[in-house]
Parts: sequence; structure tokens; C-alpha cells
Amino acid sequence: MKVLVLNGLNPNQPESNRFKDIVNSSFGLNSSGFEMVDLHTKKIHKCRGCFDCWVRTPGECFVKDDSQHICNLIINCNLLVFLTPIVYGGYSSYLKIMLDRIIPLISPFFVKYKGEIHHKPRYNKYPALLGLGIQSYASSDEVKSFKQIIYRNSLNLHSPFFHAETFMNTDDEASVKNTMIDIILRMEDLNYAE
Amino acid sequence: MQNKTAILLIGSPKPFKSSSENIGKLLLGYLAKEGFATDIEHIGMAIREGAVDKVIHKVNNSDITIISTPLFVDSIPAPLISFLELYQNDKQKTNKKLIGIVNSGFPESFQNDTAIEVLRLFSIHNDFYWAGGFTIGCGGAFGSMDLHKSKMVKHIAESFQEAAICLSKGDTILKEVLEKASKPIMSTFIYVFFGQLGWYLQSIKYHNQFNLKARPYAK
Ligand SMILES: Cc1cc2nc3c(=O)[nH]c(=O)nc-3n(C[C@H](O)[C@H](O)[C@H](O)COP(=O)(O)O)c2cc1C
Repeated sequence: MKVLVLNGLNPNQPESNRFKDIVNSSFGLNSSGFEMVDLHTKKIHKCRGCFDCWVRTPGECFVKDDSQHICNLIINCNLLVFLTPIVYGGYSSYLKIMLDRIIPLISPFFVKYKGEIHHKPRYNKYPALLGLGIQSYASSDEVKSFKQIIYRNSLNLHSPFFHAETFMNTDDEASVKNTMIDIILRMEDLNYAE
Repeated sequence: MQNKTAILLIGSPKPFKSSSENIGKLLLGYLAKEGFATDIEHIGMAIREGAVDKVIHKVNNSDITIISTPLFVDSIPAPLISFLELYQNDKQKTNKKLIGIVNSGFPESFQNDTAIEVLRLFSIHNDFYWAGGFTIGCGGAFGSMDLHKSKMVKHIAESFQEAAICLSKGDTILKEVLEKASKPIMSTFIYVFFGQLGWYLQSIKYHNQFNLKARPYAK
């Protein structure tokens, strides 16, 4: 199973390194092809909203930076993991600047999917989606919103499976690690991998 | 007595002619008619020009802040998230209202609910009074057209007019008024038909009409 973690943690927040290390060790031990991309170290421009990725250079953003390589990694992995602090129930800007650049991975054409209009897939297969959100204050509304966004993203990304898990930034290492390993094992059981 | 103030923050990365700016200005115009002094800021530009603190100051001093933004991947665009991350709460502020307007490419207005929820949670956490969120589908259909003349968005104009009246009285926006703006602009069939035709016609300019399904990263 190829796992790609998009690390959208804020490098200026003290707990970021701790969570990054926990994810690294949990996944590193449990999956063969594992890669983590620290988004804050990458050159990623904000999306201009021009749709050139659909009509001018179909399937690829016209603006060249690290996003092309990351899109390539995304479409060729089995499990895509979003690691992010929960920012008002959503993602951090570090993660979202990359996610705004993934629309070349889908088609501009529309399809009715689960009773709603979405874009057609461009590729034959898309990764399953796992959201890992870290809260710096407890808010059940924010957890609910985060999980709902992961679900909505899984529809737009044609993910065969999705799951979202949230943690408090004060959670101790052992319990976070146990939860993560549990998720990994459950996902492997689902046998969506190659 | 000093005029009440309303500021429109535009979340679209497009510097001009965005649907977000157009629809946001429609509401702002009705607030101006109700006597509000109005102001506009583009979030992307403010970030690029290092003017975020200035915008935060303006927000903290406005009676009403409207955030009008496109839906990007089921949430708000990254630069707008950056702005929310940088926002410094003025805990002294009282009764400052926040309103969200999110427009989407997909026809169903409910697809904007997740983005509206992010704005609502921001509002609550930062001691704004959440006055309501407008969710608008088919954003691609109105773009920068003159919304005062368009029959297609008549219900949105009416909803915004009613909302401006609520707000001028110091009230929150009624649920029925919010719901009116969410009604479909056109039939899904027509929107999808012309939307797809639009992609095809745009691609001809780049001689890509037979290449729209390209898979550059397929292995
Ligand atoms: C990067 C990107 C992501 C988008 N994601 C969505 C989406 O998840 N759902 C949707 O309905 N529309 C989506 N859209 C379409 C925009 O919301 C729509 O085109 C909107 O009208 C643009 O508004 P603007 O002109 O104010 O930028 C997306 C557009 C872009 C460029």
C-alpha cells in the first residue's frame, strides 16, 4: 500500500513536530511505501482560479511549481492522508494551498454521483482518503465540520473509502499512536490497496 | 449620529470580475441604500501587499463584515484561510456582525454548507455575532454580469434587499431570507449542458478540444 501524507501542520506551532513524528513512526512501521510531504517547505503558488488546468494544459496546472510533482504522487498512491491542525472546522492554509491545486486531477465534465453533481474522474483510480485533524481547543462543532469536509472531499476526489480522526494537541503519544495504528490496520483490512 | 459601516471581504483569487465580488457588491449596495458607509477589500491582494493588519483593523471597526468567497474543494480558498489564521480578535468589540456568502461551481447550493460552517465557526470563536450565511449554486452562470438587470438572480437580489433591511434594524437575517437566496438559479440540466459546452469551447482556443481527457500522471 502506497501511503502519501500531506503534512499541513503549521511549523510554528510547538506540537507540530511531535504529531509529525508520531505519524511518521506509526505509518513508517506499518506500510511499505510511505512518503510524507512537508508542505511548508514546498514552493506552491495559490490557485488563480483560471481553469487553465482543464482547458489550456488539460490535466496539469499551467503555473509550474512543486504542485505538479505532488499531484503526481497523489494520483499514484493508495491512501492519501491530510495531516492538519483544525482551523475553524477546516484545514490549515498550509494544506489548503496544495488542495486548491488538485483540480487538474479531475475532469471538467460533470457527472451525477450519489445524487449530486460532481466532476467526472480523469483517472481510473483514486486514493482512499484519511483526515487527521489536531485541535488546540476542544470544539465538537469543529470536529463535526472537519469530518464533513473530509467526507465531501472524498466525493469530489472519487475516493473508494474515507475516514477522519481528530486529536487534541495535548493527547499523549501512546494513545495517539495506538489510534493511528488501529486506523491503518482497519484500512488495510478493507483491502482497497493494490 | 455616525453612519453604520459595512465592509466586504472578497475571497476569490481573481483580482477582478469574480462571481464573489459581483454577488458581494450586490448585498453591499443594498446596505449602502439603507445608510451604511461601505468599503471593499480583496483578501488575496491584502496578503500580497502586506496589508493584512490594515484589513483586520477595518474589520474590527466595522459594524458588519461580509465575507464573499468561492467554494474551493469544499471549503474556502487557501488565502482566505491564511487571513482567518492571521486575524487578531479584538475582544472589546461588541455586536459586530459577520455574514458569509459562498458561491459554487456546482448547481446545488447545499454544496457550500461546509464552507459556510467554517466561516460561522470563525465568527463564533472570535466574538462576532453570526448574522447568517448565503449559499449560492451555479456561480459560473452569473460571473460578472449586471445582477440588477438579470432575471436569473432576481430571487437573490430580493433576498439581499430583505437582508439589508433586517440588518439596518439591527436584526439578524431571517432563515426564510437566507433560504430564498439558495434557490436554484436555473435548471441543473441547462447549467450542466452549457457548462460542459463552455469547457469545450474554451479548449478550442488552445487546440485542446480532443485532449481534454489527458492523463499526464497515469502510470
Ligand atoms: C481550485 C478550485 C476548486 C473548486 N472547488 C469547487 C468545489 O469543491 N465545489 C464547487 O461547487 N465548485 C468548486 N469550484 C468552482 C468555483 O466555486 C466557482 O467557479 C465559483 O463561481 C468561482 O467564483 P469566483 O469567480 O468568485 O472565483 C472550484 C474552483 C476552483 C478554481
